[in-house]
Amino acid sequence: MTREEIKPTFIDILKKYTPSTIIWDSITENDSIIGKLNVNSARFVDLIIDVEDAFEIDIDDERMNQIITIKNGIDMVESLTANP
Amino acid sequence: MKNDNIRVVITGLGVVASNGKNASDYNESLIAGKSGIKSIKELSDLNFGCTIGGIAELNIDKNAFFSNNQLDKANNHIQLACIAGMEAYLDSGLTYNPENEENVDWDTGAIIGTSAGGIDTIGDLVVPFTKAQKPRKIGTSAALNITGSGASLDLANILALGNKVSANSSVCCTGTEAILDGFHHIKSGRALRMLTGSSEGYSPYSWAPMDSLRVLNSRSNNSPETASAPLNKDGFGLVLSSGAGILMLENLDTALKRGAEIYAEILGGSVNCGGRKSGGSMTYPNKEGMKRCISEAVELSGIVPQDIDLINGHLTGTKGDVLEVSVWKELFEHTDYFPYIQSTKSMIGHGLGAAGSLESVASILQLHNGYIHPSINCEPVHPEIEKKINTDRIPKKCIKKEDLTIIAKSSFGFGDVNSCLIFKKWEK
Repeated sequence: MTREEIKPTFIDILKKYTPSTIIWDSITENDSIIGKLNVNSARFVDLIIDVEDAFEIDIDDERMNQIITIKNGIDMVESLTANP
Repeated sequence: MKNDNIRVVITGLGVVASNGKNASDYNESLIAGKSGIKSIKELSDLNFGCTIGGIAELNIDKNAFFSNNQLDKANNHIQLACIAGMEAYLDSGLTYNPENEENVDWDTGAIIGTSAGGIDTIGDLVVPFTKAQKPRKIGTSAALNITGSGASLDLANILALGNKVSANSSVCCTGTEAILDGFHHIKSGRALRMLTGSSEGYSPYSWAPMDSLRVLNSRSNNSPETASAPLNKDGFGLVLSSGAGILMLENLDTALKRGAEIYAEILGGSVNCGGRKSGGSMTYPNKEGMKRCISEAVELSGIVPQDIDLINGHLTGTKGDVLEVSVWKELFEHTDYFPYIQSTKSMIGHGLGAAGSLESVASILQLHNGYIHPSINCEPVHPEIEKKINTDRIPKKCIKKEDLTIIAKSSFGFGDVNSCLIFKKWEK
């Protein structure tokens, strides 16, 4: 899948886990998911499960730990949908 | 700071019951003799013998704390416990600060017991996903949802409780025993306040074994509101329900110092087991065990039997009701006196692990507001009970009683466990 195809779905999933106070217009791909976007770290695994289900991929623990920013997440999906 | 003179009082109440979404609503329903029992379509779809019961509906519209703390991911028994627990906490005059990230209340704890706990999560989520070889898809909320003290843990997280945070489990005695455990914990000087009680969610999985045991009333599916009939000649069996009852217990000195409003005092109580001997079984109690329990509760509370104005009984609508009345009668055998006696289960059914706490909240509401609620559906009273006591001791309509002072709350559980608490109205 291309980044253009992945990004909207990825952002939609993120929005399920971010507080309503986040102003999305000011968010960039380099912003951190748990830090800047304030996603509850205890729910991060649920977010990853939703991403796995949406793109039909498996994200193992090691790969999950590499996803810090939005860009990391989209890159991960891109690489796993290209080379499952 | 162990002090033999520590007294324990009740400074807050919280409840979600099948006939009352909060304490004030519950109070109105008890006065009106309103039943919470209805037909439950899911149970008939699943081929249960008994297709009726009481479901405690969550009153979450006005509860901002519910969504702020993501309680929408918690299962039913935890949601019920947190709603009731928050109500009791705020009712006691304490302040909830949603922004608090640091301060812990080391002096307040929680013991919220349950019987089946998170069985809904286990049956609907954990088992299917695991059997489908997808355990990693279960999601993060399940771990806490299935743990025995999940309710106490979630409430402790919301309220920053720093004292003992635990759960007890003793089937039908769970709620009564939780209150007694909290009482002892405060009396020993280990805490100033304890949120105590119990919670039981609605799930066909927890009710199915009871249906299979043939202890439920399967004859009254067409008349849900008259199906729960404690003390009745035709008590055809249990009618189950869900709900949660929480009492804020507090060290009397602390309560007085902060100007808290006090509902009642716990004078004492007792728990024991009949060992399922001498006629006792999983579903029928050992008479000697019951008698020892209530006698000890009375003695430890520093009262005599004649001080009891009202017995809020276990009384479920089974043959155990006759035994229960006769055991209480024996406690009064040297006098002509017998207290009023009632069954809250007549209106709300049997809340399983939540029963003792739902009924304790009912007891405190009656003490505080000066009335005795009716035992609906009790007529015709069982002839063996009529032989033992004058049946005008069983109010069929609400009685105003401003001088109601001492209530004995008894629970006699599955597996032959017994418990009894003695509550005394607080005089200002």
